[in-house]
Amino acid sequence: MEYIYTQNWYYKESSKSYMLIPVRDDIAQEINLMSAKGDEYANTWDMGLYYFNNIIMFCYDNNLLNNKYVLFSNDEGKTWHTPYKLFGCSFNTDSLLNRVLTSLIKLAKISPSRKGVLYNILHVQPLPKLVSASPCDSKVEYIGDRNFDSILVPIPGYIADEIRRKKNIDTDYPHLIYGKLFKHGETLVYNFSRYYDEDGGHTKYYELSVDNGRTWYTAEQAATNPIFASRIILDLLNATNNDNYTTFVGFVNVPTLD
Amino acid sequence: MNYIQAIRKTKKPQSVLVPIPDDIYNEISLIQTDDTFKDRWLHVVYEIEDMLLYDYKNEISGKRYILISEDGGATWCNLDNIFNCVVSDDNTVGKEVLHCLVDNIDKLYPFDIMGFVRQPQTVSADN
Repeated sequence: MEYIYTQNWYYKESSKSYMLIPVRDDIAQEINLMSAKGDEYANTWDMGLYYFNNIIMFCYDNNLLNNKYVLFSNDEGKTWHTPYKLFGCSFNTDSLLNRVLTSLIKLAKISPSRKGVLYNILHVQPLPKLVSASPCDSKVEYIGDRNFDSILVPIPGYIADEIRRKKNIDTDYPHLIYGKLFKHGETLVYNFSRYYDEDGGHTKYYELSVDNGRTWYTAEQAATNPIFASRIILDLLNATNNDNYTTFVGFVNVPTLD
Repeated sequence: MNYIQAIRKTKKPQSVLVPIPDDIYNEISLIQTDDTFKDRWLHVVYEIEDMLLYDYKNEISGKRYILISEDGGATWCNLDNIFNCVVSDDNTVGKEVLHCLVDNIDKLYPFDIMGFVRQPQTVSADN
């Protein structure tokens, strides 16, 4: 079995932070399949996140399909390591190494020593695409949102930098700066505005998505995109101020799979 | 070679001998009589699944020695060697993960450790 870096990710939420856990495509498909089967198959598979000391362990076990997937991180989820990378061990070999590791993992799942940090596993989702990213903005970051089904919003690096600056220096003028996620019908709109920069200018940044946050377009692109042809973009953007909205909860680090 | 004798308390007690290298033997001999260090080291035999695990950890010297037996204590394998963690010194994450996993079983199925024994020698055979 080979371990492949994939574009499917586990997306987790806690009261304080988000965590993305990489999963292989085939595992992502299995999890989606088993989730869809419902309670009848609840006892045939399980997955969870376990903490002990400073190690986080993500486990997925499928007794029905006889598949297992385990990752370890010792840096709070920034980097994930497969057992194969750490120990040269894959789970479909009959070896002492495999038996020992399987037993230790099994026991660790029974008695995790650190229970203070809990994450809820939400769902499998691919990392959203930022279709409209400017070529000059190679750095793309992600903002996690709590209320809209925990959607990830990709933003160019310069917007991320402005948001970070805003949190530090603009607390006296919160009405001049905001970044919010709106839902108008089936369209999601992320709207970041900053009216007074240090140089007296202003920034406006819109992203729109009609596939529940998987793909994001700028307002300019959306105006000429067939996907949005039936929608009146400016009216849509103006209408969002009267809709339900939520503010972002923080940046999400995209971990590496070692 | 020195051995540690451990006994599982059941209706049918099981006694196992754990081989101990000389440097670990010397450490244990030195620190087990000193109450000052009683919370800084441990050694214990566990049963995990159908295997036995011996764990020696010394926070003072920093030494760790973990053995696994899958035949009831007749033969023992060094856990770090099984996982190649000692061979590859830069595999610090692997070592850390492995040790954390072992630390996590510290309340399961301990044996009673009785003390050291030495393997008898047959110097007078076939006189």
